[in-house]
Amino acid sequence: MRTFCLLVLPNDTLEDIFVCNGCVGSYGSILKMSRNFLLPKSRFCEFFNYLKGLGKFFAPVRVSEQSFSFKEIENEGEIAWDALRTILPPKKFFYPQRETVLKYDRNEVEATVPEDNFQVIFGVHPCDLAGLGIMDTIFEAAPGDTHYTKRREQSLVIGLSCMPDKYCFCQSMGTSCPTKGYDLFLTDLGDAFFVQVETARAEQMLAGCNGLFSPVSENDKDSYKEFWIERDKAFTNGFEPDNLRSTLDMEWDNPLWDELGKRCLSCGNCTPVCPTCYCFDLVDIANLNGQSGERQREWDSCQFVGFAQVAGDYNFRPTPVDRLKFWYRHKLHGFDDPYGFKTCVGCGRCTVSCPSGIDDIVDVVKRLQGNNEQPNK
Amino acid sequence: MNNPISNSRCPLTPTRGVIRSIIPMASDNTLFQITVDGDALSDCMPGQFVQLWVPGVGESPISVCSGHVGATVELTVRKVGRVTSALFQMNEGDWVGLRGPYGNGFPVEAYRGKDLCLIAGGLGVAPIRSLWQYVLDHREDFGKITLIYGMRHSIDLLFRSEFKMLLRRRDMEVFIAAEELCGPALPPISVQLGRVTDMIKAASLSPTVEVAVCGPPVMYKYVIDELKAKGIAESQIWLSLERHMKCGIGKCGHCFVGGAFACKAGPVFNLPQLRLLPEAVECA
Amino acid sequence: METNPRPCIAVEGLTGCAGELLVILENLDKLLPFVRVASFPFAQSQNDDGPVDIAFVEGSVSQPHDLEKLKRIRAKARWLVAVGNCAVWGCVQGGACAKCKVTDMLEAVYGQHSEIQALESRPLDAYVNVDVKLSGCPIDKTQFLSVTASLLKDHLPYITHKPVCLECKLNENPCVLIEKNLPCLGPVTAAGCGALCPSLGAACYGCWGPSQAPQMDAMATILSEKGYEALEIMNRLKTFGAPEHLFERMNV
Repeated sequence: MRTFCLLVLPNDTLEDIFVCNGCVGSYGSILKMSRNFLLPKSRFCEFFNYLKGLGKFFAPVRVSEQSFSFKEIENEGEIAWDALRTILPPKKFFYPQRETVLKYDRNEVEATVPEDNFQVIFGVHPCDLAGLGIMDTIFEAAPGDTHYTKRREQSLVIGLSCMPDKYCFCQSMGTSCPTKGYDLFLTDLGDAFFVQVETARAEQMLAGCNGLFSPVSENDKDSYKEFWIERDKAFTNGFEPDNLRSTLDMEWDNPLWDELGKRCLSCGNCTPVCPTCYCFDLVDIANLNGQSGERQREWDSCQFVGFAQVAGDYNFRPTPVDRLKFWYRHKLHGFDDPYGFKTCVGCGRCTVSCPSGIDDIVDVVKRLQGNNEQPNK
Repeated sequence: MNNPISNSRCPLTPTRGVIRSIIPMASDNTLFQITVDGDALSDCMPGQFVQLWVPGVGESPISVCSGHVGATVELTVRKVGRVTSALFQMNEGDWVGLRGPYGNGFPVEAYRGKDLCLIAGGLGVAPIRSLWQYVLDHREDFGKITLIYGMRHSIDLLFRSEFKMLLRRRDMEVFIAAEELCGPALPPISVQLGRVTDMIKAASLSPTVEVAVCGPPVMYKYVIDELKAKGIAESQIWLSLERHMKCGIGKCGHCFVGGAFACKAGPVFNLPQLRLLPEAVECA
Repeated sequence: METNPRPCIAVEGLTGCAGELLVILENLDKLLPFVRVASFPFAQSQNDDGPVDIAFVEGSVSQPHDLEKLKRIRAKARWLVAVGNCAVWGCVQGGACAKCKVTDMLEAVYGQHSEIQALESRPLDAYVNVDVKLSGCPIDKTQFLSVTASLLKDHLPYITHKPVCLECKLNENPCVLIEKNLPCLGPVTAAGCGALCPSLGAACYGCWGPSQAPQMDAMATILSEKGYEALEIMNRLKTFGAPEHLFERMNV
């Protein structure tokens, strides 16, 4: 078990809260820039209706006994408040599964532009907010992706607090307290939401519904702190990420990869569900007239056999072992060099979406680290 | 989101280019000269590549094979896949799309003032040609130049007339080798029987020489061994990496290797850099 | 005024359910402005046997006259396109032939002395060179039209054989293999159907044929861990004509 310590500095203001657990930054760093207020749950309906007036409103809804999905909703009763992870992460709102990037007709090539459509994405948990932050870095790196950025600019992202289940390990990945990627964050205090306004855009948009909010009291601040301390304690998997870099480098030839590879279906389920998997394929679709057509991009997966194959049929990752190992390294170490961060945000989606049970990152890393406990599943 | 870019041009949109001339070369290779609108490619450096788009078919990453790119870019293309097959059906005057130039290219700034050894295997001669043309354009900036070009069959020799000129130059040394001598002799070009590695053995290379290599992935290991046997430091050995480059701009993920997008950080890496990229290349 | 004659197509059926012929017929109005239909016995009575640019052939080769017909078509077509699982993989009749002798089946159905001649049911490429394989059961009309558009320009179409799981996840369906323990073959089956069955909560039964490099052994392992019997697993995996060599690494 990890040990936690809470440092509350003498000047007991929210800005000074520093929850220290060895790897997670301070929530206070978010608060410094933000304005806080309270939204009583009794007024959430009005809040919802106000936001709905701004554009399409998306929130997690239940789609099966075990699964949730971000869908457009018409009334607040549809929100699945207990949704921990949706099947697909919210990246789909900015980087849709399939989209047309250009059209051509005879000599003319025309880049398509996403429609003007304001959208509110509600109920995004910290891991997914961190994921959006990572997607921002990738798609905004020069030359920036105009489709992604336009959709990002016309969206309001509202974060929501959560309590981890046994698959969650955002705390270990340092993503339990994201510092970018959203406009508003709501912490559930029981009968009210503690609201943090992060961006000027959100501030501007809320101008029309300020009557719904009340100022935070000392009590509310205490409840807020208590919630996040409790949440920190709720992580149970004891995943130590400190030596990820060296572990992944050192264990590149560990026989564990062969063991996992044998079970790998190469179905690619682990990648669309990942909040930070960004890979795509580009496909031309020609019209029958032979003169016009369009070019689409569609999510792709590094787990498919053709992914790293070059013309002339040379394949750089021909086996499931090669591809699975690549994916693990890419999530846990691959972006250390270009960007200085890991691309796993600890949401646990791959673990619950893998039909073979081999994408249990926590378990696999523990075994690579030399902890040979067998998975308890 | 500090710099709104949504109004700027989508980086996946190609610039239109018109095929000016189609020059058949040995075996399945053809040299395409393509003129692009504006100066889209004029800052292209040796070793960089473009994404060539055949409308309705798709894109293919192709190395630029000319050292000086103005409005016209030269691409040597081998018919190996869907896109290149479609390109081979096109005629002079037809249009294609081009995006780029992409990739880091060969580090010509680091080469300045040094001896250079350029090693090409097979179609790897295309990007190497951009480098020798650039270097010969700026001849006084570089020391001794050695060019080694190997192929399987002597009949596959590309850029014949250009090699005739190169062989006449006194300010560079040229070695051409084929594993099998076939077809008519090509005087005054003398193709020797052997491999690229034999030519490296035969060449006199100073220990400070900078080496640029491009060829099929299987060639690299042997070339590296031979160069190191000559006492050339790993940091002076630069390899151009082949990968499945789909977008060219570090987004689509297909070329990601180790900790780098080969299309952005590469395709040219020196050996110490490559060692940090697992699965990049066999470099014992 | 047209200067060039329109390209010619032929649409022919061997042993199959005519499902692909139906899809092509339903979309013929989109093709007609750009092609001349030289032969389509399923849909028109005036057919000529002259050379064609593209021949779409449905069905598997299951009888001697199928084979004769196929060879005739091959000889007259520049592009031969196998349409549908029967033509590409051999489908159910091919899957059955992998398990039982064709003479036994013939006798069981038609009695001892029937005049019916049957071959072991095989896909087209068992006998002739096939230029393009467009699987499906039936084929997808959008894919059919875009493949035809490519071929009309003499371009090879881009047909990937990524697994059904991709389309299923892009549709954001709950996974029936995980959540309902259904014997879903999505991981080893070629996509193109839009993950139709899993989108309706049912298991994929592999009707588009195998995906590229399907991990059959891993699939069998996972299904057996869910309690499915080895025989049932093999029956499911082989029903739609997946060729034997894909099962080489398996120890079921």
